[in-house]
Amino acid sequence: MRIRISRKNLAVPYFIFLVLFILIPILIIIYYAFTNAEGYFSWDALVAFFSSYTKLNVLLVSILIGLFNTFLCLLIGYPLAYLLSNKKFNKNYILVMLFVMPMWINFVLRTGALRDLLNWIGINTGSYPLTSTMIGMVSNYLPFTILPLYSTMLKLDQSQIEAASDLGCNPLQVFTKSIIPQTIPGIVSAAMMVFMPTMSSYVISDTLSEGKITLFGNSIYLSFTNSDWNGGSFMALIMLIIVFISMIFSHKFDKKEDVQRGSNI
Amino acid sequence: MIKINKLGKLASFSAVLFILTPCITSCGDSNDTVLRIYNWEDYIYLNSPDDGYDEPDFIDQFETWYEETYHKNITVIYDTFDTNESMLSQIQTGKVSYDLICPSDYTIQRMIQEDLLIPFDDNGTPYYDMYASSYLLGKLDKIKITKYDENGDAYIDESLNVNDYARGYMWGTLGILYNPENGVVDPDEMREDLESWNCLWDSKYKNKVSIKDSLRDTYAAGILRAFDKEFTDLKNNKESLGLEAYNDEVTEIFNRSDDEAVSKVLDALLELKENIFGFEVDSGKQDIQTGKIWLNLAWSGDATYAMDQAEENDDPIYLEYSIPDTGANIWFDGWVMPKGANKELAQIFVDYISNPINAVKNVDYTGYSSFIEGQEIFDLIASWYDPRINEDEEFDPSIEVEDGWIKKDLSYFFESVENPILYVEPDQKNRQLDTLYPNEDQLEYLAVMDDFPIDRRAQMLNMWEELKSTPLPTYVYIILAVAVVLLVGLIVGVLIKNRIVRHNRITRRKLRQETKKKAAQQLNN
Repeated sequence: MRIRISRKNLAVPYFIFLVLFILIPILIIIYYAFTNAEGYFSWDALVAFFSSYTKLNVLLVSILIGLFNTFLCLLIGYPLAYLLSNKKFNKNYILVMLFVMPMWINFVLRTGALRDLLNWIGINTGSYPLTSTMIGMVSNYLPFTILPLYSTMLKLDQSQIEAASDLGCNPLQVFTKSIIPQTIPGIVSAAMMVFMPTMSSYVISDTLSEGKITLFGNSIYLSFTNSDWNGGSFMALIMLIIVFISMIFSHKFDKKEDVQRGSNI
Repeated sequence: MIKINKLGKLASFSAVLFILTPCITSCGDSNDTVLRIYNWEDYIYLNSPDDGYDEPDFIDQFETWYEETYHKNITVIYDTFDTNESMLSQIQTGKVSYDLICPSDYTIQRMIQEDLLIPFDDNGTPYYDMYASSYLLGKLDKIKITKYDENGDAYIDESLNVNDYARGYMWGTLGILYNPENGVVDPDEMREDLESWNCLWDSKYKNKVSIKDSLRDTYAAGILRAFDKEFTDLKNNKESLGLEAYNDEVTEIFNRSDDEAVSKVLDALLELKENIFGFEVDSGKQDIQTGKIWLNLAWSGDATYAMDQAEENDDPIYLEYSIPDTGANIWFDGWVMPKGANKELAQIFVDYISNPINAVKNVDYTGYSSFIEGQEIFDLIASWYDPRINEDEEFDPSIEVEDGWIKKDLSYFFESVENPILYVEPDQKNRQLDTLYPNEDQLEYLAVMDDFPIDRRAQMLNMWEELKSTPLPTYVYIILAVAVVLLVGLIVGVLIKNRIVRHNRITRRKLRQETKKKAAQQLNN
């Protein structure tokens, strides 16, 4: 007997994985989000979510913290990635390794250590919950910002940058008119890698704010641990919708980039 | 393609067969000798020679004993859970099945209410019947089971008794662990403050308090503050009420969950949130040793553990524990059998673990107070805390009592022990022994906390979410509104600009084409 391995067949394991661990769970979430405790169809979870000031407030706070964290990570990560992509500065890629290395250690452990470190240098995590949470968030998500930025910056078109300055752009104009447009795909993917996980994370805010800051992830977790499967699923669905919106958003950006690059040629 | 499909089917069929094979061959007749136990983590004796626990794991000891006694093989499957809620949702959805589970009091109450359990036989656990503390049995007896009739109205089902469905394992109290040697507040002043639950709200201890990140425990603290006046009035009238009635009244206030109570508790807890260092699950034990916090809402078992650790530090700290006398929570964990359990085996195990000679091992290892009384357990406790120790490091009651030692009468608990009286040195007041076994006069205000009624659970959860959420200051909303307006304005502006640009481009193109046409016409002409 002969088994022909075609390309199509190679995709089968991935397809099974996709169905089992992504598609079916999403369907289960949708099922629970629109049923009540007895298993009948109902809008209860939806009504409960949108009529609860607390839950909406938690969502808003999470979005704000997510945006703020994305902003901080880009602010710190962008120049850093630029430096790292400079071959003279970053010989043998050792510096990149240094920034990636923390990711090899489990982030729960890192967060626990950071809590002690913060208290040791005098930032009392209980008195400054927001500051400590933001420090924790930035330190945890910075590698996720640096990596995509770094990889797009490696591909920076140096001749275009040179041309820009030759044709009379001052350094600021070179930066805004040549470097930034070239790195937009990296910025968008870095932002995606930071924003969503920040919103749904709960270990960092729990540990570093001493339980004083509740993110959307904590809220979902709380619902499930208190057997409110329907409410929890609905919030997870909201999360999914936000993921889809941001995916569409980032996709648009990517497309625009292609068109622009095409038109440049 | 057909061939591949056939092969695939064959492969998957044989895979299924392969997975099932061990079950087909072994599950059948050995079913009777598998005991599945679901317990809390770190809640049973484990072999750990480094800490001086040389015997085999408790489960192995039981297996050996069972095989010697019944001449049958037995396999114990022992798993652990970390919260009552996660365990309960697993049982409710039927994802797991066990013969014995060890939940907390309120979860047992809920499981009985939801008809998930089967009762123990009347004489199924003789050692337990002989050695379970009658004080604690009396406490369990008072727990009421609420049922709902066809109209959804609640009524108390008197025919259901927790003592028929559960066999106690460990018990304790919820109180405040504190560090009197914090170097700022005078120790005696602090001890005095700790006699009331209000100390958690005291600005003297701002940012030095941590409370539990758990709805029930923190709600308990909140209710003790919110109804402090009622609790105090009750306490002052306890003589005229009688101790039994006094305890019933305390329990009633303690279990309030109506709208008024919830909003009062929320106010109290929102105020508390301003005063605390944070909410914790188990970091409190460490934080109080490093000086990060001075006060920690703690369970008695955790408190003794923290005290033991803190005094073994290079720089020893002597922590203390207080159960303020206006009211406090008493809790217990107990064994229950879910429906479908192997009743016979489960009862044999519960009886084995309730035999004082076995129970003492778990007390020694976990540091919690056992539901079981008995000479062995009393001797162990005495050898830990009573200074009357002979050369063999054993408790010897014949040694003379010195002046100033504090007498501790445990006759309310150790009924089968002759003369269950211990002495501790004066500096051991409010320390381990007082934590594990409260004084008899403290019992009168200890209340069991019921499961929240079904129709109040959503309310409770909302209260907790509101407490934990971070309200934004008004200016943030204003900034947000301005930002949104600006953003919308920007987008509209860009759209309009684009339209104008496109419009101009089109008119320009048209103009150009017209001029071209005109030029061509002129050329033609």
